[in-house]
Amino acid sequence: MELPAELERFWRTDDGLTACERAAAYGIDLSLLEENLRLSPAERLRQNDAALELVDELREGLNRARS
Amino acid sequence: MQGLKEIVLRLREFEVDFVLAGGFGVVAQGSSLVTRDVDVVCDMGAANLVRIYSAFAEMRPVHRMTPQRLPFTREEAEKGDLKNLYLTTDWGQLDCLGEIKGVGDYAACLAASEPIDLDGVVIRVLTLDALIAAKRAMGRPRDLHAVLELEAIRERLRGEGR
Repeated sequence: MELPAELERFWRTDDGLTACERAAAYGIDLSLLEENLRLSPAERLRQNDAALELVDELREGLNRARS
Repeated sequence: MQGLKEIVLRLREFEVDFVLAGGFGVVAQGSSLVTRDVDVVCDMGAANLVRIYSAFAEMRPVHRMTPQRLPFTREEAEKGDLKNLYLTTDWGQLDCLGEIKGVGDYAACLAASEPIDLDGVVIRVLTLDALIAAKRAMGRPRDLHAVLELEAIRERLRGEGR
């Protein structure tokens, strides 16, 4: 799948923007990154696992509701 | 199912030579993305493949990319002629890669890695610079989000861009 042309520009680093400005312009929530930088790598990986568990629970709940 | 973190700790417990890469490496470095599989770059020699096999033999490892989902066997590991290994196990998905585009083979990745403490166990993960190089080299639409996040994180850690 190709990116829309208007998003291809975000690969560039010669656009006069800082990396943070470019990420924000793309729509990335920098506050989430700031929060993650307060965590240790182990905490970040645990957070990922917790997010996956939640996704699985939501998916199971949705399947139950639809059955 | 065990958490993905447990997969990584299992590799370490069985003394597998690996460097954490891919989505899990990106998460470890601070990205907000969520990933469902563990990508590691490995020494793909027979000895290390046997260690990988030993680590997951009880978790019914199968080759995820084969239509028949063929089991990963000790005999196959002992032959040592696998370039990459894409497994599904009872604990989740594990991809063992012989090289990372944009960084290089296992030796190059090891040189471009740093230690992180995972609940008292030290594992190695590709550095921010190496992950950015890898994601840029892949250049897929889904890699762009990771690149932008990692470059913003790198800028923050350097105290720039404020």
